[in-house]
Amino acid sequence: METLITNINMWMIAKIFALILLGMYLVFALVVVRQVKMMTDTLQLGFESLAKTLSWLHLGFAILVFLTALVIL
Amino acid sequence: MPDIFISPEETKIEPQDIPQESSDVPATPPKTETQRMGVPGHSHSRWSSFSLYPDDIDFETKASKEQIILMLRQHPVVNLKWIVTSILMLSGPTLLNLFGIFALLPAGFSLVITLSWYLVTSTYAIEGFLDWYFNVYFITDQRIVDVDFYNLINKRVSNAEIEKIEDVSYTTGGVIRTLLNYGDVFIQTAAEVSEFDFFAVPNPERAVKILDDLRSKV
Repeated sequence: METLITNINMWMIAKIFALILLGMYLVFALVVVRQVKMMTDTLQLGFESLAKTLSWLHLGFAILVFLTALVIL
Repeated sequence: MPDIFISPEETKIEPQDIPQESSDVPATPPKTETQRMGVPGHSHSRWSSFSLYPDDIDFETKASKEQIILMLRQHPVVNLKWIVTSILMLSGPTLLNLFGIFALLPAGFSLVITLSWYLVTSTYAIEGFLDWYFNVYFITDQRIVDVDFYNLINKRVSNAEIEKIEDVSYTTGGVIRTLLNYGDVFIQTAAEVSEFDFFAVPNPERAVKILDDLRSKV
């Protein structure tokens, strides 16, 4: 138990904190995808495919950042 | 003996042939693309903020025989706020590096912070664009429709029939609004939603005139 506590340093706490935040951000990115779907279902303004692509790229970027943090921190 | 006076042959004038200089809405709605092209204010652009008889545009609650006369969204200049802010935000990691903040952190953290910063910046820019592009106002031959998306997952679609419109007014003011000719249109109705506000729309006086024309035809 004492060994475990000494192994937990400040950067480990920072890593866990960062992963929690980025995990929440992943959920937010999913909400953005859902939001764009709702917008494009409600309105057909001729720009639906680009809006959807933007939201999926954003989700992909959020996953990339989360995985990067998981691996290198 | 031939008649001395021959009355001129009467020509029948159809209502749609009467030139209506004061009207912004054609007497008969344009059906073909060529007719639509002749309407001042008609635009093919997907980015247009003011489009009379827009092409290939639809909304969820539109009836099959309903025709969109005018589509409005906020003037493109309102996008400057999020565009400038996004560009300034892009320089954030460079500034942190210049002030030596990253030197205090382990290598992995500086990379994750930089990527996270760009992620937040991209979210801000995407939300700014979506907010502008999808918050639109429609004036159809039957009603006015205000489509609002707010708080990410909420939407509100308000509409009022043309005959329920009681009063229409608009305001412009300030240097930029006067120069770029945009302002707010306020519509009082007897419908469930008593007031419709079209904020920062281009050509507000023309939008009001179109609404007045439609009201006079009801």
